[in-house]
Amino acid sequence: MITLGIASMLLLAAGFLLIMVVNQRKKWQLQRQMSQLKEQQQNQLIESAVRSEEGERHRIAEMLHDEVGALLSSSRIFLVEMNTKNLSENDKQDHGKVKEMIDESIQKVRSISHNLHSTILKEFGLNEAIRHFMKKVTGGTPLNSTVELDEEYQIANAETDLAVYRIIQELVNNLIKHAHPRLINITSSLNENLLQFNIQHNGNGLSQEQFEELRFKPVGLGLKNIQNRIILLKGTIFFSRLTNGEYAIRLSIPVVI
Amino acid sequence: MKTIQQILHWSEVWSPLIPLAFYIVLRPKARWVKPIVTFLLITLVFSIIIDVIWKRKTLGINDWFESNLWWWWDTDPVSGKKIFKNNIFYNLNSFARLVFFLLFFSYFYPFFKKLSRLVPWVFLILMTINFIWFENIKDFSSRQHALEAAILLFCSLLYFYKTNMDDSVVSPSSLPEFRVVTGLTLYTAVNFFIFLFYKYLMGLPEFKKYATDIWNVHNVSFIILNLFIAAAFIKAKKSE
Repeated sequence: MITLGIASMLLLAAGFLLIMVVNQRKKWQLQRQMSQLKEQQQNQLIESAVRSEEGERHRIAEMLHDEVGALLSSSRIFLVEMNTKNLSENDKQDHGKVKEMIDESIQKVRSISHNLHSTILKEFGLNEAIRHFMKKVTGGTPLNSTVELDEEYQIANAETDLAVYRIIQELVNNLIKHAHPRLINITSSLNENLLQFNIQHNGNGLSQEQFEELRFKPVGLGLKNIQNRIILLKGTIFFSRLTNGEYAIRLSIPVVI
Repeated sequence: MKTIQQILHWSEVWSPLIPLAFYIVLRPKARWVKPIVTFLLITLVFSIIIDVIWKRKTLGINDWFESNLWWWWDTDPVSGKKIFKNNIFYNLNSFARLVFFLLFFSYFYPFFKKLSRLVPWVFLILMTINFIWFENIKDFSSRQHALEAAILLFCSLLYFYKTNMDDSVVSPSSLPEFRVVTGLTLYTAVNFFIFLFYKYLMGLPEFKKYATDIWNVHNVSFIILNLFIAAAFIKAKKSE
């Protein structure tokens, strides 16, 4: 009778535990579904934010190029056609300076416009856009750069290319602004469906811990943008210090070609 | 076989030493650890007393008991032999187990807090009435032990239910205290009927051996409870 009692009590306890395990599994599944939905929603939000940012960039670039650029070009034409024979030497010098300044403004507007919306990326692809960008940012500065990109990579998806380009653009701009390197090397490789970029520099770089810390600070908008684009691309980014004292940033993006 | 029997007989002494050793080495900081460690220390002291009294002849200290503790000796109503009862320490141990495990439960849900404040007093009043009018406190009280096991089993099952319903707990089995409750559930579920019929069986000469043998089941379940407590201490340290 006691044995029967013990067995029934054990059965009761085991039954309770079994119900708990089953319920726990259901809970897990529900939580997993919820986190998937949350992630999906977050990705949609990031995507729409990135899309609207790109749209705005495109709009500003067009306005700068078509309106401000055109206005400056017409001003230049009027200035060139202006009769300067009757002007004094001082006024002639001022006229020349104004012409120089307008030329410079046209260049600046064009540069900003291209920066905001890369036509090279659209027409010649990611590799050429990165090369052009690096040439532009290092031109006329003590900063040296080398760019060795995997030519096997062709355009996979215009949106992916644009996001990768923006990440590299933001990373290089950040390096120049904060790390003050003298040399930046950019290499890329395409392994199966994984496009990897390695940005190595000899400035004062970041470790992964510092990056994780900075991207949650309200001031680090650039890093947040980088992270958002990486989430959108389902890629990874890793900051490290090399044994030779230099720093490296490894960017891995899955691509479908 | 005899060695295994001896190990089992002394299990109430050595098995609490397992979680206590883990506690000394790991020092887990979780708040619920304190009542459990206090219970383990109290049960260790009571178990040493219980087993020393039980094994006094084997230990060669029966004469000392006869000459110094003569006032504690009773006469067995069945055999008429002089007996030295250790059952009061089982009764005290049972009360300590109830109090400290209720304190342990009080750290988790507000309902248990109310229960831990009320139940020990009600239990104490009931047992006082029981020992004044119905039972001798020096005898093993099946009523007290069975009631204590039923209360603790109810608390354990209630804990499982509440944890199961708690949406903030994603994985109840990963909680360190879950292991203590699992051990306690097994211990109380196994022992409820043993406690309930132990005194009755001990009073029947033809079932005395069966009652002694079934106490080994209690001892094994007590070892399992202590192993679960040790596992909970390890988990609590890892979770810090």
